Amino acid sequence: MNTFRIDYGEELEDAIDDLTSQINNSEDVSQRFPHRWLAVALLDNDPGLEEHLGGSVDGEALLARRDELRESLGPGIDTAIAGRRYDVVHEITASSVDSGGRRQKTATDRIDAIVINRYLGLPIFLGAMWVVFKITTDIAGAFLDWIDGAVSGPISDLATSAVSAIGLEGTWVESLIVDGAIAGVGAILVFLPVLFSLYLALAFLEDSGYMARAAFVMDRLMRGVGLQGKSFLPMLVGFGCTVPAIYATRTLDNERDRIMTAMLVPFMSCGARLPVYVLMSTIFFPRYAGLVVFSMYLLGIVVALVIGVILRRTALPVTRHAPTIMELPPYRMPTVHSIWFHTWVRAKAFLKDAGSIIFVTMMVVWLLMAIPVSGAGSFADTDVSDSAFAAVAGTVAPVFDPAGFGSWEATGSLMSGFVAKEVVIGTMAQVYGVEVAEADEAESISTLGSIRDLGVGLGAAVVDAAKAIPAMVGIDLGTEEAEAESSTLMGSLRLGFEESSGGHGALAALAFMVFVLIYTPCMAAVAAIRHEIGVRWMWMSIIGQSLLAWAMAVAVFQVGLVVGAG
Amino acid sequence: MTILDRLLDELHTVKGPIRSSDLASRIGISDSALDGMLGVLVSKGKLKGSASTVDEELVACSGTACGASCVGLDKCPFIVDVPEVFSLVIEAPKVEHGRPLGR
Repeated sequence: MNTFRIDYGEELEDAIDDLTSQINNSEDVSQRFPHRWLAVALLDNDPGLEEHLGGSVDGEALLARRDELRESLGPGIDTAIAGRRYDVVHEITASSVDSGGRRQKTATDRIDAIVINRYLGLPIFLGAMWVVFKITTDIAGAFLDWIDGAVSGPISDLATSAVSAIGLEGTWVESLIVDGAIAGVGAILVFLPVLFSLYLALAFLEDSGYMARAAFVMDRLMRGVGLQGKSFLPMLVGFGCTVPAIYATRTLDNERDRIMTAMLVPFMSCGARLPVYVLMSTIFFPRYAGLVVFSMYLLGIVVALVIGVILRRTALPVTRHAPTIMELPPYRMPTVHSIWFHTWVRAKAFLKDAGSIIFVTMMVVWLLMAIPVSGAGSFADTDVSDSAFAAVAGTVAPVFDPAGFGSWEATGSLMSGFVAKEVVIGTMAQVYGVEVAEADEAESISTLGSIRDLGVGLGAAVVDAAKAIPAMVGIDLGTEEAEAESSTLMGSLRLGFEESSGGHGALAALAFMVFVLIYTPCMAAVAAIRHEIGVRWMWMSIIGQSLLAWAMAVAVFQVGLVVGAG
Repeated sequence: MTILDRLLDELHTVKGPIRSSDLASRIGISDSALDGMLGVLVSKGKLKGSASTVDEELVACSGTACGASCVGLDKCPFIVDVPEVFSLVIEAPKVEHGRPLGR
């Protein structure tokens, strides 16, 4: 018979003896359980025992005595029994297992000593972000023109031919399909390579184990503004999408942190804002597009930290935060299959969105642009500047004059962007693209539509993307000068911003990007905030973000003018 | 003072986050032993664990913008794989685990 018995110490052994004698005196209980085991389990507050002992007189008496003893032993009883067991296990293993002395440092330990170092961790994190956005803009950017050519060329031509074949040429149906669906949704799909490369980079960082380190590094920064370290985890999710990030704040320990984090998460630049940055920076800052995009993400973090400090000192005073233990996975080389899977799942979701809410929003925008409110046009055959869309956006546009983008086109894009940020690009394609398309209609049909040209264009894009990789580290393999405005949309966007800003288009574009970064991410995010932290905070979020976005956009433009930039 | 008490005491002294493997080194146990202890401390209410930042019930996103047509964890495309995090339940005063019982 095994006589091994853990000695729990005098105080606990007395309590065990006390309960054991009571168990011995109960015929009912003593026949059902080993006596000492039951006494220890009772003192350890085993959750299943109440169910087994409750209901009988002896059982209830035993539970009552257990409660008395636990109270007299104090709160230390919670971990005393388990702790003593671990001590015994530790003593046995220490005397019987030769672990070779001190724990050997693994490769992960050595890498972590640098990557999550108190002083090096943050610069390394920023460096990793810079590389991600450099890849996104320089490599994926090479494919933008090619897809743009496919959408505005063969696809539009094919749709036009199909509409003509069923006798609807020149009707509102043609306008709906070509100017609404294809121009709007197509303009968003143009950025699929950009988002695809972002997802690819994120998947690599996740699978390699670095993303967990980013959370660890940012934990320290979060504590600096009075948030618990875990607050950065929802923010990390927010780089992908604001909506699940806001829901993720539920995992935080107290309400104050939940509210604060939910208010800050929208400043993390979600994937949907990336196409806007890429488009604007490609047009206005072709040489520094990657740096500009990176700066936008960085600005989002800085704004979140500043707002966090302000909230901590005003509406949400700081509370003590608990230390955290993070189980960081070991570093590993990601597999191609895994990276592809993660990237594809995210890209598929983007495509699904483009076919659902973005499509519907684009149709609504088209409808508003098809309804004439001035001029001599008729439904779907009117100058866009005479449309209901232009009239509504035009009334709000003067608000943005001090920021340099007070045109109805830019304002209308921002207004529709309240639904979802992808729609900003789609609306721009409709309001800027439609005007150009009307002017160049004859030319476009004769020059576009060549699938052979598209094949050549794809080859050139692949070569440019390949050249961009060594160029990232300063090796120039003869990459051609960046084309600032190779498409009609890009050209008319530049003209529009130059016009609205009095010749300071680059500054206005920068201010526009800052506004897109700061103002309300999307309707779904608003709904999530309302659901998680209530209506009052939802309105504070909408109003606060809009005012801040406006103030920062104006500051960027006006300060830029004063210092002679742009 | 038991190993669990030492573990909790160690946590009270750290500032900021700590890797689980570093914590295991500090108290002289293996990483796998620490895993089990963390589970016990969570069940005793001394630590709060978050198996995933965004667990399944949290991503029932009704919205469809921003690419978040989420109806569950497996459907949500923007879940970043984040580390498992345990935090000390600070409502428990330090004295709770500071008094060794009977030894």
